[in-house]
Amino acid sequence: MFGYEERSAALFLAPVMAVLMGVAVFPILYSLYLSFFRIKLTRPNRTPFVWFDNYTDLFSNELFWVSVARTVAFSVVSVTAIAVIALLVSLLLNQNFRGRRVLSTILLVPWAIPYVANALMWKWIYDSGYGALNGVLYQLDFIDKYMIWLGDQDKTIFLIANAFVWKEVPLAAILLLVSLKAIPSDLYQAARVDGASVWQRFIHVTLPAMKPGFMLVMIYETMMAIRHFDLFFILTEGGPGDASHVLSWHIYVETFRNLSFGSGAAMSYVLALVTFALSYTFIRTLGRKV
Amino acid sequence: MARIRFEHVEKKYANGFHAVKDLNLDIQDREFLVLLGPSGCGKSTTLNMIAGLEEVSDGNLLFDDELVNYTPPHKRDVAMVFQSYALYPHKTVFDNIAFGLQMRKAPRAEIETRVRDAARKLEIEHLLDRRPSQLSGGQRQRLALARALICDRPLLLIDDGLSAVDVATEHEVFQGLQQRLSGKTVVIVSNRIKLLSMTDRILIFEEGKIAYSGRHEELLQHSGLYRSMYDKQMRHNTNGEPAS
Amino acid sequence: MSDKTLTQPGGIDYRRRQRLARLAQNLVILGGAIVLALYVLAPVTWLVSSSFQTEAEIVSVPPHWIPEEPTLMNFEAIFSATEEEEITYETRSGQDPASGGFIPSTAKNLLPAMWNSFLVATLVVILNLLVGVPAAYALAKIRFWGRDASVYFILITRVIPDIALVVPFFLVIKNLGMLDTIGSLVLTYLAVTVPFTVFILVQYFEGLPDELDKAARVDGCSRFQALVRVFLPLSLPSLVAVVLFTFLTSWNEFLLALMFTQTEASQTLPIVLAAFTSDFTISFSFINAAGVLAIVPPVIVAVIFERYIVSGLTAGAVKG
Repeated sequence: MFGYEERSAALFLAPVMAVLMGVAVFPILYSLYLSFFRIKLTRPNRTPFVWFDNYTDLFSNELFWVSVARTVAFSVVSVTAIAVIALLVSLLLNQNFRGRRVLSTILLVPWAIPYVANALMWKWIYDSGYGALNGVLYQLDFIDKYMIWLGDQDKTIFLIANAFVWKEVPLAAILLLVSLKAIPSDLYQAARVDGASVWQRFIHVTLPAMKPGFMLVMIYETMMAIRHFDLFFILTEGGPGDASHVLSWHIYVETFRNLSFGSGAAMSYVLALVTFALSYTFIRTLGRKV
Repeated sequence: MARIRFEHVEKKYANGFHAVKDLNLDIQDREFLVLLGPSGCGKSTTLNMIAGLEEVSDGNLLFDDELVNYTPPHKRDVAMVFQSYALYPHKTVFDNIAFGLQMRKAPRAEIETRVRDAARKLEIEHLLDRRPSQLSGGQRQRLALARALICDRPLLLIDDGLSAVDVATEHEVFQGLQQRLSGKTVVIVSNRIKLLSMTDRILIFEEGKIAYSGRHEELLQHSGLYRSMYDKQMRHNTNGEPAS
Repeated sequence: MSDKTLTQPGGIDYRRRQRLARLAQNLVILGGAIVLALYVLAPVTWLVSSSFQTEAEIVSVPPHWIPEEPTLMNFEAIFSATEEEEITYETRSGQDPASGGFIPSTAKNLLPAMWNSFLVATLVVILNLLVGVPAAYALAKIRFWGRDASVYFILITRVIPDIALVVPFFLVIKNLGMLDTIGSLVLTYLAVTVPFTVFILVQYFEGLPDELDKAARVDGCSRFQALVRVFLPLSLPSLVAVVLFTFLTSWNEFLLALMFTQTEASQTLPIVLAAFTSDFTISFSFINAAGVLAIVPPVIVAVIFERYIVSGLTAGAVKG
């Protein structure tokens, strides 16, 4: 079982495994270990062992559950929007028209820019005093006075989701395009011969053939939405109130502002387990894609 | 000297497939051997084991009485022609042929002469600056042969690398090669009839074991399977269609 | 008339119908393309436009979509803000004569931060290639026990959100005394980008014929030599894709940098940028200029390497 194929493979894989073991696996285990202590960086010498207290505190903490709700809301809104928009964009890009290359290049811009720059850009657009959103809506007479967008509890999630979607759509669209292109044209020909209209071809040929690729892209985007942090840090810092207090923000605040590393570790561990379980079930249902 | 011996050799894959079972085979120096059989019977696996591209699961593989189970392919003195020719697409024809010598760190002048010589003998000298993708099927085959022959290794393996072209070309190529091959041990996986009559011994594999072994004439007499195969091919040949 | 219109006994003019349908289709495509271009470019254009406006102009209501008095002052401030000038009342209003907004002294951190970002990204790319290429080769071409498990393992490490890694990371890095160093970023970014690198390369390598590898080894190459002399030259598109993705991921990363950096010794561009946005005294036009500066390098890199993105993900036809 451990012949020279295994030995050479081991040599080739050693660096990667060392890096991942050290910088990915070890932290998770360490995190688990830490979660059993009460650690406050303000009192570094007292770190009592508290068994599962951090976990029970977690589940009884109302703000924690609020953050879960916010995360779910954000993810659902974002992924739905991405699904619809990216699908339309990929259908558009699948057509042959002059200027298509230019369009795909333009599409790269949102994907390439850092999230922080994206946040900065939208913060400026949403600005209550001088921002473009206010300006446009005011000039078009949709509103009669400038609004404080990011201060509105009901709108915050949608505004942040908009910024997120804007940046994620290009990648999603390109991935969907790849699976669109993989559909053999014979299927379309056959449908045409059978008398299917454009709409029918779309429903019965395109959509089913895209399903695995589509699911993959949506799962990826869901993972991205659940873990997203940058926009929340720059745009709203979890506010106003707790309107955008998502899970990643919650962990950040607990760990780096309340300096409570033990409970921060517990939360991280729970989050890690949940995302792991989610992806495992998804990968299983998708079958082997690698 | 290239004498190959298999002693109770087994090959089992990780997924459980038992490709070669208790293989005992003694290939003499300079023997010209052909392996036949249906797909999945173990003949290609055996060839790969000689080359070192597949590891021996159990048993001993010896070259000239030396155990080579753990010797990697680049340390065995073996030349091989692959079914798809496996020409290096990013290298010129010249560099394709020269590669083996370059790996041996032969001096440039020597490489130059030997490559040109080999190319001339296989009538591809005018193509030395081209890339493999610019060659025809027959030229590619000759390139693969040139590459395999240039280092003058005592052992040559051919994995069905002659069946991609038509019978006439193949026959030509083979006639030309007979001389150059006379000093080597040659093991071929193929089912081209023309070859079969030129060989020293024919092995028919079946489900990982050697079912029949012998010379062409003997097998014609004693093996129904062999005879029917032969008849089928001969029929195709006289009809002018390519042998399958 | 009979050769002008193709009419069926039912009287349906198929040729005309086809022409109309095609016209409609073209209109839809054109409309869609315009909408998409606007959707993508409008926000960015607004950002760029704002960065060329003075503070006075930028606070106008309704906004000036195109600067009426375009200025390079904001960009100048970024590039010249290396002097250790004290911001006093006098110098402050001198920097932006129009209004009270001023340009912070921390502006001088912007360029060093850009340099840090560049340094980190470059190192991460190099390490990714050194570590990822052999791993991908082994996973693609060597059939060994544990191959599938290794692939899953490598991919699984990326499932866990960064925020979940941050707590233990922080303590470890702190205890190693590596807080506020480039090294902490390079190491963590490497772990974060290498799985995707391996994924891309494995897909590509698997598309290259097995027999090439075998031929090289029979010709006298060890496995490693086969990788370097045969596979690498054939994998250029995929390597470029790796460089692109890795560079962009490193350049854009924020959370880990937030954790590990404290001073301009190691702060990267996103961090400095973030610091500006939370400072209410900074002029808007300046922030926007900084934003534009942050956007330019990655966009340029992405545009240059765009064509390698798709070709780098599939091996296409590599003939042997």
